[in-house]
Amino acid sequence: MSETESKKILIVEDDEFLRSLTVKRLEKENYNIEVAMDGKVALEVLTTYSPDLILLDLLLPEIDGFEVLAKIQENPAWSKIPVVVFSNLGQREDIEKAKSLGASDFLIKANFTLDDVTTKVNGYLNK
Amino acid sequence: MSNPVSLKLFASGRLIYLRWFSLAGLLAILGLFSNFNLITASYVISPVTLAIWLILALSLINFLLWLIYRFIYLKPISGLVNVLSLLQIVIDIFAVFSFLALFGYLSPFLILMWLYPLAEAIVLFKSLGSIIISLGLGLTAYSLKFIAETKLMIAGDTVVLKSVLNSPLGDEAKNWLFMSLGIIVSSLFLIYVFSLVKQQGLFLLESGEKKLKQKQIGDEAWRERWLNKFSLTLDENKRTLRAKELELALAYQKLNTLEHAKAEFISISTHQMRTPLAAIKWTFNMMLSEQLGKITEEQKNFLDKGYQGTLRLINIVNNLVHIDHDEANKDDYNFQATNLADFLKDISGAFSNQAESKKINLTINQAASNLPMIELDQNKMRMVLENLIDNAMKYTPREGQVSLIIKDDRLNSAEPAIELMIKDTGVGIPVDEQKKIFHKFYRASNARRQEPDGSGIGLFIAKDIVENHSGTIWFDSVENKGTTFHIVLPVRQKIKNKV
Repeated sequence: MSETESKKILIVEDDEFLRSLTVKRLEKENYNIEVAMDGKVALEVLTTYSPDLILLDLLLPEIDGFEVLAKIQENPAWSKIPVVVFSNLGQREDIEKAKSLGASDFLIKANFTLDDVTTKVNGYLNK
Repeated sequence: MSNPVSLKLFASGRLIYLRWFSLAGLLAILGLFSNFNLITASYVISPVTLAIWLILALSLINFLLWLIYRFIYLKPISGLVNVLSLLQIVIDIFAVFSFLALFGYLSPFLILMWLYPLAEAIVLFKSLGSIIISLGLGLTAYSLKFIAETKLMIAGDTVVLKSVLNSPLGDEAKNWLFMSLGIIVSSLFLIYVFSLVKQQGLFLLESGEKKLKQKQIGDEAWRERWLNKFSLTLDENKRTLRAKELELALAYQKLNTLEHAKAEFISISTHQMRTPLAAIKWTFNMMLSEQLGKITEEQKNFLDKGYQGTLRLINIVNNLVHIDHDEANKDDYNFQATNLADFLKDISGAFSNQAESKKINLTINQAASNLPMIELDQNKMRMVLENLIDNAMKYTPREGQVSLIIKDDRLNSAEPAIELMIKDTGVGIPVDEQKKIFHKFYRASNARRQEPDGSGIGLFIAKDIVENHSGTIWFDSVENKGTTFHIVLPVRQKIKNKV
């Protein structure tokens, strides 16, 4: 049983390497991490796991990130959770779409380092 | 067509035959009865006189009918009838001659009777024949001047024809007669000649008209042919045009499809590339920041090279994405209020290792602390600044200086703005190449010598992005001394819509 102080993060990312790196890095910050490798799994996990932040990739097999966003927004139980979209899509349309579907932030993976990401996450979770 | 057979009959040669035979018959009868002293120089009606009167009358009727036939029904005269007509005239000449011989002494004006066969000749023979005939008549009349008497032998008997010239009229009358005859003949001759000329003229006119008509027909035919050809060509052109239109539409469709395919390809490939690039970048970063354990200085240097390479590659991929969206891309911008100082610090952080390894002093100077937030598209401006800092680092030799300066330009300009300066002590840009620096794919010669890598796109895109922020970008450079890039961004600019 984790301490109630420890914040929970759900990471939705299909690339194994990136996922494991992210997990390793964020675990160092003493966060409780759950992972999902595609949209379908993500939605399943959400039924039992209630994170304080979701890091969501957009290019996912099965159900893609946008759909996940939509589903999260629809569900009142989930819609309050901040979602940081974390993707390699970078067009204006993608950003807008994500934002309109309730994403709090949009980061392009290749433009940031993991440390940057960590800083951002800390910012969200340690208000 | 409405020609009654009876008239035709009369106007034909048959009546001439009739008269001929009648004449011959009568003359034969005369010969037979010549002993009956038929001829007297008095008004006693003798068979000869009667015969002559009959001949004359018939001839006149014949001629009149012929005239009617010819000029009312306008039928041409055939060859045989020409011969018969000629004979008719001969008969008539003989008839008139005989009449005048017998009764010519009665009046000198009777000589005008010659007009009758003459007119006949002219009417019947509008040709050489009538000339001959009229001439002949004239000559005959003239020769009468010299003939006192003419003896005519008819079947053994002698008919003494008194010359009209032996009449009691004097020489004066004779002269007058011959003069008038001469005038009549010559005028008739002239009339004939004129009629010939007129005919010829009419003939020429007719043939000219015919030729003209033919030409007109020819012209029309030609025009019609030309029109046909032209309309055929038009049709052909129309067809060709339609075919070309279709081709064009297809080509356009194809182009659109290709464009879409290209855009999609670039989009997908760049985004696909970013994932492994992110992985590489993070790995290098983690190792460089010693999260996986301590590393030696040498290891650090090498890892940093790899890290820089990755950054450069990510930059190129980002540029590719941006380049593809050349047209009307103000909408692609996502402006957010940004604290420039933090932003700059964040970006330059990635270059700290490189600065260290090259012993370059990388500093950030901020003119004032209360700088306003600027609305930036962070991703895009990040690209620009990374590009400029990267250039500064690349082209500055060891132990050089790269300074990032934020200046407050609100005081001295009409529009409140913030100025960013990226100043280096590097190789500089040669003067003759400065104008082209912002051009697509252009790389200065000294840059190329120093660093063979580089697409030359960076500054072109940088300019585009800065201008889309309603800002300006320029540089000062002295070769082998250093370069300073300036970016001025207006404060709180509104997002202008591109037309």
